[in-house]
Amino acid sequence: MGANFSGVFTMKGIRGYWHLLVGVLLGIGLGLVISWGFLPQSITEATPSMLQDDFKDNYRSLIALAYASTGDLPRAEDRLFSLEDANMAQAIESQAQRSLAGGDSPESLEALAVLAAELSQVTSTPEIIATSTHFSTETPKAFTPTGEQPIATATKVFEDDDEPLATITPIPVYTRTPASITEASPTARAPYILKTQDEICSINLSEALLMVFVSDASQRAMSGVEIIIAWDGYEEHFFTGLKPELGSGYADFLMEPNEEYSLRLAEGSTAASNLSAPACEDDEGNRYWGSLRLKFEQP
Amino acid sequence: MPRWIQTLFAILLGIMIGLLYGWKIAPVEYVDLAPNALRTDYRAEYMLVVAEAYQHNPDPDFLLRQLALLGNAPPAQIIQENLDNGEYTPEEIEMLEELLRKIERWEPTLAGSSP
Repeated sequence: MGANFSGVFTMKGIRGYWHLLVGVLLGIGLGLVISWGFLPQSITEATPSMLQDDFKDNYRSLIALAYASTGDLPRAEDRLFSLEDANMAQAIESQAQRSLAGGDSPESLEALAVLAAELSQVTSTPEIIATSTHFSTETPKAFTPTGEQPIATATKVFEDDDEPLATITPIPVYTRTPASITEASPTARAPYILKTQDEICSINLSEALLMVFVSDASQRAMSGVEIIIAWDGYEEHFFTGLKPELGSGYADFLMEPNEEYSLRLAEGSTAASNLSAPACEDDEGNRYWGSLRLKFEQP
Repeated sequence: MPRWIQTLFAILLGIMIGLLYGWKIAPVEYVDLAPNALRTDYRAEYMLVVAEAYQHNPDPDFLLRQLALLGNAPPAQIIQENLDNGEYTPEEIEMLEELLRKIERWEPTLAGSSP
């Protein structure tokens, strides 16, 4: 027995077992080909995180609609957690912006906006809010008079050292009484009124934005509020809360210079008309298009 | 023992090692799957999300599109399978059964039809 065992480790002995080694290696190769190629493990064990990106988007929309139906935020969070996104709130927010640009259904868009706002309220802290931000936002561009579809353009809103939008200083703001206010089409109730309408001349805003802030009677920002803007025979709908970093009651629209818009809230509000990008001038006398800021509030 | 039999046993041993590795230790990882590949419990949850979303957006086309993502079977069968396999609360079961009844009303009656 001892002689046989030591014989294995002689050169002659090793040569005598090569066929076994080759056989095992060949078998392992065959086994891997079978297990990875011909008969792989069943795919009915997938988790939501393994879904294709567009199916993940669809699932997020469904979760948002389900949340709109049940109001169960912890359950919505659990479901979103199964998608294993690095940042749930950001994933919903990004999808809401993609949906806005892609022209998804208003129900889905509104549900995403509301859920994004809810999640950002849950995850945000005062320290984060107070921090100066640098971000890019997508803004729907207005139709051109030739009837081109609106395109999403990346609008750099602030530089690194700028302060958040709500506290921009110093910006020459010319507050005026909204003279052009007219009543919206008759509704059972008009829960929002146009509180202020300001022209904002700031070189920090590179585009002519129509910025809308919506709050309730206690001045709490209202997310998911549908806004209807109309101009030159066209109409577009957008929602507050799609840019939660600017506040859950915030929404904006990219104005075309020399175009006149009218705007109202779908839930019922006073309407603002004759809205157009104001002409501004910087310190060196260069002219540029400014922005408008509208604040709607429940009385 | 003849050498060829030893080799055959070695190959069989290797195949077993290869299968063990390929199925259990390092199985194929799937990505970019469709909802119909979800594990039973996730499918059941997906079904519930669809039902709840339908409460907010009661559009039959929307519902049928979402159910089609869960497989090629008829929508009623998909709901029934999930009712059979999922762990739902009584309220959720009631909601799904209501959905099932609606779907059955929409679907054309195939019984009695002949080629």
